[in-house]
Amino acid sequence: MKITAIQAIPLSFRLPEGKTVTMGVGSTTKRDAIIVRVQTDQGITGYGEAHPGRSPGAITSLIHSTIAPMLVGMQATDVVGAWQRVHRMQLSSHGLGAGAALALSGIDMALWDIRGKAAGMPLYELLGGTRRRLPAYAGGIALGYQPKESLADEAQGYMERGYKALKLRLGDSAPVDIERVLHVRKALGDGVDILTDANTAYTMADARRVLPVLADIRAGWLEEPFACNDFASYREAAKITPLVPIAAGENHYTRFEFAQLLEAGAVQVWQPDLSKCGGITEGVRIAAIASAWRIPINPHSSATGLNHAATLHFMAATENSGYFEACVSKFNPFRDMFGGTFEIGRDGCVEPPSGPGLGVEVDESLFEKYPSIDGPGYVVKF
Amino acid sequence: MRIADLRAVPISFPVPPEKSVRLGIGRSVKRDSVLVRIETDEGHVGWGEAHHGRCPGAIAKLIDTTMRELVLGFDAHDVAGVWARVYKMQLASHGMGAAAALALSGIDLALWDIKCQATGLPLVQLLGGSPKPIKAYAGGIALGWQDPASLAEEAQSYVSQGYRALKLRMGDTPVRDIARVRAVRKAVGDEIDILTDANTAYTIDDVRRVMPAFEECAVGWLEEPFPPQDRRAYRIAASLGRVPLAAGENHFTRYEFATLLEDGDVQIVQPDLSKTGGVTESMRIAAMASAQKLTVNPHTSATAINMATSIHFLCAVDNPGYFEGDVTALNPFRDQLADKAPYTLDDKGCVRPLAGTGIGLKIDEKFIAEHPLIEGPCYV
Repeated sequence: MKITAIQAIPLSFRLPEGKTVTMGVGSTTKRDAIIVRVQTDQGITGYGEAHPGRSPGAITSLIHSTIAPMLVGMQATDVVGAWQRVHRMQLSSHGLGAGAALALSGIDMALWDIRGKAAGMPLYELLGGTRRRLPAYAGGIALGYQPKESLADEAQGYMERGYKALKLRLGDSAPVDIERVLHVRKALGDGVDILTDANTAYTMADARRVLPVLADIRAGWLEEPFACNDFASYREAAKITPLVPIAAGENHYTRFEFAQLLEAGAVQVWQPDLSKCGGITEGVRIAAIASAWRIPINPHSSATGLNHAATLHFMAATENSGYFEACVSKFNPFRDMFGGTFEIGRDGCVEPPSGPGLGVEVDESLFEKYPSIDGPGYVVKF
Repeated sequence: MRIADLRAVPISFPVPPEKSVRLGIGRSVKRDSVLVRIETDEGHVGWGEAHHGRCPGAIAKLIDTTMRELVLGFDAHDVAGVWARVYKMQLASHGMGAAAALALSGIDLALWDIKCQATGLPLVQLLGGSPKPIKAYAGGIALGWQDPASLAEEAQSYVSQGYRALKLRMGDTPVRDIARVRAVRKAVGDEIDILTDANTAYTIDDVRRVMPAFEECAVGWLEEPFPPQDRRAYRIAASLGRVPLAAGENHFTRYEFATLLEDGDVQIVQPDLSKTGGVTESMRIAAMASAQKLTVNPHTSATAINMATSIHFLCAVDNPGYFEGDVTALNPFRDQLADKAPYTLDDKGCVRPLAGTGIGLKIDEKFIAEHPLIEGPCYV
């Protein structure tokens, strides 16, 4: 079964007024996603999602002009071979680095979808797992900067839907962040796991002020206090308190960067995104590295139901998987356009879809409703 | 002075088969570059060069959409501010990583050009240095995989031009690589510095095999035996012999150089000004290397803009190493993009920064218009 065509389909929507969320990476004004469609000579079509890297047109151009020509004609089942070819021609030298990992992720996911469909198996089975219940937290673009009372109300709403864990956005300012987490813990009680995410907006001084308070409220983790390449700060922050693990991974690409995280010894919770880190193939390798060191994998979720489905299948087959990041964004048609890929239960858990491959029915006519808008998609005050 | 306009100008030229060179990363079929043109509200125009990342269309798109949105309206003098903004919005999180560093490099070069235009100074003076001779080696896309005798002949021709150092392309097989180095050493004698570059194509076993012969031939450095992420392989290779390891053209921003320097396995630091984040970032990387008494030996990108800028840069740091002279047989981006050549080699094998405002070149917009982008990868 050979790959005959690879197509990137960039999609965007603007956020309606009142649905904008502000967090450490800025205020969202639109959301983008890149759907990757891979076709084969046996008539099986697979779909994947590549993260747009805040420049959807550039990722689309990369897939069409450089990566597709490298892979068309290869065996669609050979995800390892496809990975090696892109690594050789883009990741090892003279390439776009993270940009290439994003593009590869979408293609790899589509190739897994194809293999699952060819085998007539849902991916959780093909990957060697079973349909099991996976704990989820309320995440996605939600629980952003707002008055502490309304934040607690928003959080309460998710708990009523079944969530037993949720993620608050920090990185506003240390005193305001502290006020919010204290209030939410008080309002929600001890029965909820409070996770926190600074989206790279902290300084070391902020981390020194906030981490002891996070220890007091028994926060589940502090995610991405610093930029992904700021290893010195990560190492330093890990010394502040042993009670709050530091989480990172959505901006780390390929097993090689995770190996560096491991060596630095500063990140205790890993969060690869299957639409960013290099796809399912690479996600499985990263999980294997982590499992030997008892590091839990809590994958970061991208925008669409394709990524969400892939993540659920992957987690169901990963021994050391932690939480699924359930997108609870008020407005995210990309999550909903393929039908619901997950449903939160009273037990706070979700399950992977059951059909072959990703188990997602893709209706391409829906794409017309979301024409691509180029540019970064977040507005930031400096 | 504000940034009023910013656009990418991707350019290409095809390499005819008889001029094509085979390296560890493939055979070159065309060459690309992504130029960046910035205009200020005071009418100054600056040109920069971004490396194409084997996908010039994607880099151009990134510059024309996301980077444009981030940088338009910014104070054109504030290169550190532009850098910090792009870092926050592309390099710290949610961005395109190396691709963003490539795009930013071109923007940063253009902004330095504007700063020069606005002040009327040569870049070397604005950066705090003075014009002086910089040792050059014969590099670029040349001295590729070929019969040892013809390689020795090619090497000899550069020595006749004045070069006192040259770089051979390795990464074929250890046996052939060793034969080539030996033939060249025999042909050029002991006074010429022979550098080697495997373009990430070696295994640790390959290094184990070539290292004794390279030591015996007094090779000046072994460049990029492995991809930059293979830190363990670099560590082992560094223990296998006395030929220093070189790397940097695939390391992006000071943060990746911080890891490289902390690991301590690479002794020759080679940032590319059109890849690692521009002049601004390369000055920082040079400062980091200087604290460890290491020289900077910038990797050269494709056009006269990068070449001329690199020489000004080398004259403004206190740890300059070699300039990589581009002896590629066919490179109109070196020869025809501007009103003159980006450098001339003197009889001691050295180059000097061009005099005049900025990097000393006047860009030929007609040439640019005649060399539009050819899509697709440049090595096969």
